[in-house]
Amino acid sequence: MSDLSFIFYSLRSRLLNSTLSVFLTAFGVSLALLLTQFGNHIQNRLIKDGKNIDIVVGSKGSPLQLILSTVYHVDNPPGNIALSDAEILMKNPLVKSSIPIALGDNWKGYRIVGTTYEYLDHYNAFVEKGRLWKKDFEIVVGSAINLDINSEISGAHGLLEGGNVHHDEKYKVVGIMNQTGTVLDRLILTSLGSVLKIHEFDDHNEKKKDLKNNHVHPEEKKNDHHTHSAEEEHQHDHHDKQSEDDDHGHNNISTYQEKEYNTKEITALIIKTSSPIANINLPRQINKETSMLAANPAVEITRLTTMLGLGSRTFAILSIILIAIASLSIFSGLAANLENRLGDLAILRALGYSKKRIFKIICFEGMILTLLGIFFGILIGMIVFNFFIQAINSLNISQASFRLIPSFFLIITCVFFAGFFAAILPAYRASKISVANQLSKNI
Amino acid sequence: MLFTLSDIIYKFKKKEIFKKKKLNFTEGEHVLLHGKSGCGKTTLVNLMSGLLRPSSGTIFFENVDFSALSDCELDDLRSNNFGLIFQRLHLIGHLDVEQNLKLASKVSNAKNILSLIKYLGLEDKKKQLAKDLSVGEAQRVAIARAVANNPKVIFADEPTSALDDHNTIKVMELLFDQTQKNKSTLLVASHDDRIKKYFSRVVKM
Repeated sequence: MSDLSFIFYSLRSRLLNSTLSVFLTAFGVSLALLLTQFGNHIQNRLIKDGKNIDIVVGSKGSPLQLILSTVYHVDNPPGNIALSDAEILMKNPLVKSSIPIALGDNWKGYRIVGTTYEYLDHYNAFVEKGRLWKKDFEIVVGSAINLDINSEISGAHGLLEGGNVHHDEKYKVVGIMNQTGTVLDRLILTSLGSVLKIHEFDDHNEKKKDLKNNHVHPEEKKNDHHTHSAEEEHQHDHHDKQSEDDDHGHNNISTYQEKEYNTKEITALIIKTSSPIANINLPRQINKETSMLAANPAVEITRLTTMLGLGSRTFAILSIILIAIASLSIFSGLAANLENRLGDLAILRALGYSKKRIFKIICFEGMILTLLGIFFGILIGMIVFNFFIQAINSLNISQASFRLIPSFFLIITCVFFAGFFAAILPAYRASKISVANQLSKNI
Repeated sequence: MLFTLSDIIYKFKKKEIFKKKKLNFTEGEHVLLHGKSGCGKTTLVNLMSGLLRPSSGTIFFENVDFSALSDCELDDLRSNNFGLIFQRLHLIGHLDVEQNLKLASKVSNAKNILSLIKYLGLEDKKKQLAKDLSVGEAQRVAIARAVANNPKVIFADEPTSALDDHNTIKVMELLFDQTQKNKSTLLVASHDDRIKKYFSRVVKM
């Protein structure tokens, strides 16, 4: 009888125990894999979305808030900056390239971003269907947004779903971007002018209403001319400063890009500096000499991940704990059964099986349990990961997928060796049994 | 001389539990190691089969000194030359009859095993798990496993102690039948007076 056959029948005779060992290992492996896969996805997204952005310049406030709102589009911006200030900064020799960003509205939770074509270039995006915007209120939507060409939408105030809807002017979809796996997939892009004008309509209407009703004191009107919630209000400060003349004068401007920069306030400016030294000096200069705030995405995200414990070290520690649990389950499975099997092993020794052969049999048993655990662990990990992708829309949008990353192979290797070492001790003990003593007491 | 034992002492936890000045066995002998329980019969069988090593003294098998062999070499010698029948049978319960016989490492020839199973009248039980066999059937399987390798020496430790007269006769006939068939030496350790008559030599322990 071959050793493999003996191991097979031996494991089969302890089916429940063997299955439990395999699945305890599998769960350990799958949890470790899920942890690293999600960790890797988060890290990738943070890196991919923030790639080639050296500095973000915005209103004074929290630098993290500025980065989260402008680069990752997950928070409200701290305020607006004057376009004139931004224009001066854009001409600074330390600035290699810059992209203006104007936020304020959303459609069904998807942010409407006023920007320039460079924003698409920055993420290597292109219009897959249709064309780029050529005039105000034309929009290009991200691949995750369910809108067709020529669809018309009304933006709502604020950056979260449920704000007041701008009924005065509608956006028209003229293009759909390719899937980039970046934040762009869930954004609606339009010209800077569109974002400002949509609020000018509101501003204009509000003013007309106020004049007609003549109920509101000018001071009160200044403070309460919008129906936004307080947390959204700061994003629309620029509309208060917009003049009536600007409201109606946009059609006279011949060059489209020139027209975009006619707006007075924007939310932020995304900057790529001209050199690594500029990357250090420019933020200092901005923070010291202007009323604007310059924040470094890499610094802020590192601060955030460290604060939340999302760093690679945390994932590594958690993975090690899970691998240890998996190997302990193999050890406990083998060790607990060994006591009941010493008689069988003594018979094998009496029949001529060498100590070395017994050691190999028990080690093989451990390795078979480990390999099965690894196999089912990968399977469960992939199934659960894909289930999460289907169930959680943001994961689906961000193109999360199970990847054969280095940590995947590291976990598999670690579990394999952990399983091997977990099998060694019972195997050694089994090989050292006193055959005569065991046979004399065994029934 | 097949076996030569000289000045054998076996100690367990520093306590001397077996001592024999001189003992020889020749090839083809049928020997009964007879004595009361606890007199050292099983220890002697274990020493001669290489399951135990003596604390002092020498054991020669076909002029090979056991003490000169490594554990691994002793395991090989045992599997190649000896067949063991234990007092408590010691079949592996989760394996069937055929698989228990196949455990004897040298036996890989399925035809030999099947003919042995047939000869012992266990043909209809060959796929039955050992744990489900009756005592008589398990005894026959244990004997079959011991002789499956065509060993030079068959050691049997109390093979009939738990059997009634009828089964004792059947087991002894089977043992002698297999021994003669393989021209093996038979060494039986037992306190059972009923089986004395079968042996040409009785060693009082």
